[in-house]
Amino acid sequence: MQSPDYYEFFNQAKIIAGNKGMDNIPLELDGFNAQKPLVLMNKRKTSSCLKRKFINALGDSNMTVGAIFDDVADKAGIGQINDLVGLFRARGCDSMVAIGGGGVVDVAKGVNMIVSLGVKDIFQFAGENKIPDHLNPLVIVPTSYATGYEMTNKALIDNKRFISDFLSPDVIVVDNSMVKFRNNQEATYLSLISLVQAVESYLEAAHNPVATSYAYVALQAIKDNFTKAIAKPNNKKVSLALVNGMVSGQISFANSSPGIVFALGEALSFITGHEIGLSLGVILPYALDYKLKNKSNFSSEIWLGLSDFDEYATTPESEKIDKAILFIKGLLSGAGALIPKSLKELNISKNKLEDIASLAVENTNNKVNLADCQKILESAWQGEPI
Amino acid sequence: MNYNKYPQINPKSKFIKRIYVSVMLFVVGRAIAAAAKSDKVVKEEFKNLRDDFMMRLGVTPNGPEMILGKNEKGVVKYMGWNSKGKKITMNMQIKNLEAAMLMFTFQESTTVATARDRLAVSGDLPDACAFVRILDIVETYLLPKIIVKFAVKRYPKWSQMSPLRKYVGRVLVYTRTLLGI
Repeated sequence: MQSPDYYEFFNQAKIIAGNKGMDNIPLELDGFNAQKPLVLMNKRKTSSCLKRKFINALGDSNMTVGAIFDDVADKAGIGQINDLVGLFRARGCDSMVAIGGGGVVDVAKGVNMIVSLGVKDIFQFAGENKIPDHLNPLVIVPTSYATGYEMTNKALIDNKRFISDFLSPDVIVVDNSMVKFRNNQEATYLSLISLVQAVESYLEAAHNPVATSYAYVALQAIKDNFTKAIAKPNNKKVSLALVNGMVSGQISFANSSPGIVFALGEALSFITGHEIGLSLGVILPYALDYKLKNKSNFSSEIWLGLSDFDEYATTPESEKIDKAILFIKGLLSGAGALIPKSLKELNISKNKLEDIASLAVENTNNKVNLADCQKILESAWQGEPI
Repeated sequence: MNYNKYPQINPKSKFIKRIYVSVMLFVVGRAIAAAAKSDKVVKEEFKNLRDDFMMRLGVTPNGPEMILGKNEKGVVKYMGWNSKGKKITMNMQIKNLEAAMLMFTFQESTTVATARDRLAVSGDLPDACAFVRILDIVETYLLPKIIVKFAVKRYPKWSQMSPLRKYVGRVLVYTRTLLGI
């Protein structure tokens, strides 16, 4: 392991994962002196029986659910957040539970900012580290849908970014009754988000050893289960492993600098409307080639996450990164038609590439290079390695 | 927004599961007291515990629970389900009713449940470890091998528990449990 001169790592969330995990929510909230959560979910993105399963899990506890709002929009907006603040206050709630991912978690974080800090306008907190104090407890119950920010210290509301450690969830509950994939597309997209987030932890110059240990968990989950999930997406064990990997990958991502692959995938998804997992899957192999060609600060320990100890130990140091990249490309090609080979196949017009590159640079506060973004996008569009 | 569309929800009580766990706690409590008289290993384990040992094993937040402890004469007794007025020296709480169901339907052994953080213990750790060992022995007496294999850490070998000890002990434990003597 490369020994860093300096690093920081933050994760306040308690992770409860496995059989009957959700039954612990009353006890965990009680630890925060909270007994009445407002529960948010998106019925379009999650199976309808999840609501019933959640209520059943709280049976025989002293907890009252303020309300279950299952109409959360796909993307968080201030209008809906203000409505939910009214519902939160009308019912005398004291905590938030978000079931699912994407807009559900962003809305939960938005509501939590207003009700905890007693403000009317949350946009004063947009940007980095503007939130002044702790928020009410937030429990996240991930399902089979995610966009990459749920377990992190970030929220995206009306296209404005909020970044603060106070936005991190307090409890993450991965319950195996909540994580079954509905189809192999869902499994593929969720895995690709974790894969990119984990890979980019190893690409980082700082080599944060704790972040990469979380990334290792994510890579192992993907290595063992990605192909199985494509073949049998409704296998509970495989789904649980991949969602666990997703949680670890996101925590690792939250403690790493913004990576170029995720930034491009996110910008591509925003501009074209494609799922972020799909966008990342198309861009990843080209970005890895580009990074390799430019001799980026790639840690060879990535091969440990994608192999086993024996194989890692017997691979010469100079071949580890090449093998890792080859393995990742093999995983992606194993997904077949689920991941198109180029952006052209996704029907993205070439004149949008400039906008996508600029947005990626803007979203990361210039932490990624515009020229790099353009070259990767150009290569991904053509479908030809750099 | 129409708030009435999203009503307040009070999750229901799991009545049947509560009854099942209550019965199991009652049987296990009395069986431990019976084994403390019949089995030399259990007797020895209790002998090493403090003189005022009194434990509560229950389910958070609303029970059911059972109290077990030594009386003034040092005899191990099942003391019912109400801890009021009793000086509890070790409190073992199963974190929720579903976790208790996993334990008492033998889907998870006591040791696995402990490793998975399903139990919260306040009191001396050696006492808690002794109790888990006692529970393993008592379950071996109460249940057939095919079930008890799932409930205990390791099913005892012949050298650890001879068939004679097992079957005589089983008769004694069952008789004392049923009669409460």
